[in-house]
Amino acid sequence: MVEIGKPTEEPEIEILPVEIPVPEPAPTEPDPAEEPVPA
Amino acid sequence: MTEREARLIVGEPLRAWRLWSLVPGCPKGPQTLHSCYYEVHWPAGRPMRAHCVEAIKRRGFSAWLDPHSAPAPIGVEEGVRRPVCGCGIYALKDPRVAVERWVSMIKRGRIVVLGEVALWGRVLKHEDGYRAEYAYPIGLCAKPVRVPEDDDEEIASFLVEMARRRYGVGLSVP
Repeated sequence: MVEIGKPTEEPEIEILPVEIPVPEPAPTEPDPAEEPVPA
Repeated sequence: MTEREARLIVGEPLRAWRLWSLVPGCPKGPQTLHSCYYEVHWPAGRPMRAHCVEAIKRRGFSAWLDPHSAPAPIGVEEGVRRPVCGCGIYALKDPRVAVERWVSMIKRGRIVVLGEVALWGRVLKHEDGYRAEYAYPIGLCAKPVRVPEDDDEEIASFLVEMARRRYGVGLSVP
């Protein structure tokens, strides 16, 4: 695992983004691996 | 170390830097971003979510083969919450440090690309970086950090451009 230093004393944060930063990807060939799988 | 409650913040995700690898022979396409350390790919058009390695080991190693297809959310309750564990999606504050510490860990024969990443959900701050529950690329640098010896740099740069399109992200300049 990459070294990112020791955890700081700051408490854990939970960020709820106003907008999820996931853009619409360019259309590509269908990828079965990206299809949703029922849990 | 005792567990502490997370401080809730509504706002912009954190921005940091990380490396990804592109695998020229990948059946999902050579423009698919792969984790630097584990054999998992980053999905396009939806967030990458951290999975707890220990929980996956306990619940069956087959789940590890494709965490995205496993019943979600596996081990999130054990994910980035405890500072003593190592779970989470890793990223560094400084792009130069990211390259220095990460590039040698990625298998030879892979194209290595540096880029910016958005981090949100539960996040633990470390001295030099973060461990996060959710992430998605913001942008990729045009020039790969490393190109396999038998590969052409121009072709590698083209694959990085294809990856930008696939993930719908822009150009990052460190």
